[in-house]
Amino acid sequence: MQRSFLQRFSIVGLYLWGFRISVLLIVVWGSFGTFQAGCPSVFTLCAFKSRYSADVWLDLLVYGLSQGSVYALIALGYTMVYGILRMINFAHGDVFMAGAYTAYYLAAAFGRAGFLNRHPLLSLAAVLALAMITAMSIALVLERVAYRPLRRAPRLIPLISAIGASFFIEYAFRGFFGSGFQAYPEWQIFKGEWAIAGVGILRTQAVVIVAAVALMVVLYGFVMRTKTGTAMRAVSEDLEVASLMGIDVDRVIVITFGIGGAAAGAAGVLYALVFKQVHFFMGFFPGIKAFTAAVLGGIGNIPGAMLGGVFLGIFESMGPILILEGLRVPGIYPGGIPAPYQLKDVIAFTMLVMVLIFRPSGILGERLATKKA
Amino acid sequence: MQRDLRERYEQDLALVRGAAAWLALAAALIGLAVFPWYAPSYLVFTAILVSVNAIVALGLNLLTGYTGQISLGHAGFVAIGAYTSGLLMSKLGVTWWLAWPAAGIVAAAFGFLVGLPALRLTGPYLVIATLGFGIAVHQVLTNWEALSGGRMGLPVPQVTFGPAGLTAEQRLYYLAVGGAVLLTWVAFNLTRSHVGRAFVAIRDSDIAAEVVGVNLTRYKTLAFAVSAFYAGIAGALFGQALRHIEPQSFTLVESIFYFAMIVIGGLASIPGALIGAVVLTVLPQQLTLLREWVPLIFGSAIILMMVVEPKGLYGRWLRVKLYFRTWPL
Repeated sequence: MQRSFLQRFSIVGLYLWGFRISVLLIVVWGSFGTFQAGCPSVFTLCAFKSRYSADVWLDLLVYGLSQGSVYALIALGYTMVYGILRMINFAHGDVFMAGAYTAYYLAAAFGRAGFLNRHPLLSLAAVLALAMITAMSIALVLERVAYRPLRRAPRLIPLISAIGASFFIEYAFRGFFGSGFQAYPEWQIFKGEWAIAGVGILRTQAVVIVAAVALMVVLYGFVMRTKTGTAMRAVSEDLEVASLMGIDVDRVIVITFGIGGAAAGAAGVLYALVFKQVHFFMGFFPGIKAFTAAVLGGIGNIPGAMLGGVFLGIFESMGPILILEGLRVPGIYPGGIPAPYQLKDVIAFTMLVMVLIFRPSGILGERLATKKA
Repeated sequence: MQRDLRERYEQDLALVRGAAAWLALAAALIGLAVFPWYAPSYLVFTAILVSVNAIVALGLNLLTGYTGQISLGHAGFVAIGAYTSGLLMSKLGVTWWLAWPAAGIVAAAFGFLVGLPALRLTGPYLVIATLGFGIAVHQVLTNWEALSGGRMGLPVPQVTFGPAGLTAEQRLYYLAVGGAVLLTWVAFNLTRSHVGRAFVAIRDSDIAAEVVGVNLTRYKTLAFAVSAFYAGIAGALFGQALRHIEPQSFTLVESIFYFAMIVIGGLASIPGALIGAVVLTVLPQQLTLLREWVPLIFGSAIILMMVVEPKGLYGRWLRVKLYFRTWPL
């Protein structure tokens, strides 16, 4: 039955449209405000001459890239597990934390022994390896204890179990290692900047980007080229048919959790390289943001997760200044919102809700509703 | 051996069946009424906290247990209730019997607003969205100092109520326990009405529910609003119990605690919510030696419950009862 315009008009629709339009207005008004700050006339844009030079924007871009590649690595774990089990592994952010936290002890021991600066690459590789192994083992135990017994249960049940698991891992680490921040040791060689193509780039950020990209290439190759990778893709296509074709589904699920965990562990070390500290709660926000990235790229889609992560990282690093700095609220903040950088989590969350409401299939994904829900 | 044969519709409707049940109910109510006269002060305070948490858990169970919408942002609704009543009472001088229902209503309005996007979000997406809501409330309360007093918090004026012979704690005890009993009764009746059945239908399959004529928009937002109303009332009571509210009392950890209450007590059962609230409030106070490890215990208890007994402690109790009813067999 064809319904008329008035009949299709619902309160929810109105509310969502209002939300859409107001966010759009804020973005446009804010970026306009930033770009024309300090310009002689309201109608000229002179961003690169005013408060922020091109160099600042470039720095933000590189920072966003390094941040985004870490998100992308974590997001891979979310997206692969979702692809196979149709389940969000809520404890994945804590697997990430576990990797970074355990490797911290190795890095600190290396730092005390001076090994860190004598063999920087070797020590980085060792730290990464330890983080990956720890995170992988935790992810495997998690799968065995908290998810496998619930595989046939209604979808809400493993979700609740995952929330419990996340809480468990966080507070186990707090109980064993204390609730303070631990300062990650620094590699001397990664201090300062490298000039790449005439542009100064912080060395840590360059290392993070290179390592993350290398890991993602290896992982993508694994999923696309090996026999196990083919099995993984087959299981995510259709679990039952895949098992009829002789694929050991349990084995594939275990491998998926293992790989996702290892990627998260490596991401943990890279994250700690940039922020130079670890904390028992550090997995929470990166976990949520990586989930955002996975949804953004279309959940269940591996290239989508990588793209979503990088996009989110860049958006998060440039967004606050681009949108909020110039957001002049008459009466309250005539000169734009102060300290916009503290609001980058808000930006990530708003983006997540926007994507979920307006394009749940993400950039590259298929529609969630049509996928075996 | 089925003892309670029901012959008339009124018998089927009765909430309390048989003389023994009436006696037990009367004993429980009298016990609650005389409790503050004989118990030491710290136990009375614990009982107030138990009632506050029981009200939140009841509301959350209506939303998560009955309607199947997970919320990890309930501390946000509790905070809204606490700050609404606190601000009304301290800044505008409104009396408590106006400020507390107002706290519930404001929280319910926010529940309605959160419920609207929830129409498009299911499962994990809803969890993230509600979680974001809880964090947003906490952030706003921390940073908007003109409204909330920021990190320093907001003092809440003392409620004056009842006969002069009572201490402040006893007064609050009667209000909190009375509120919890009343809201338990409301929840029982809500779940037995067409509204409760619509909630359960949505939980079991929202598509099927819509096909048989359940208006999803109305009932999902109603579930959020009712649940947030409970949380708002609890928030008002909580503010009064501590006499001082600060954003730090309404973090994600609290949301997960409320969630753990209903999961451990029993999803989709009202006694379950009450049991969960009692266990999760009293246990951390008794386990002072293990304080650091309490969240860990709850995390593992959630996993254990899901794996072993998805119906929670109350479900286990029903099974034990059933086993003994047919015992020698």
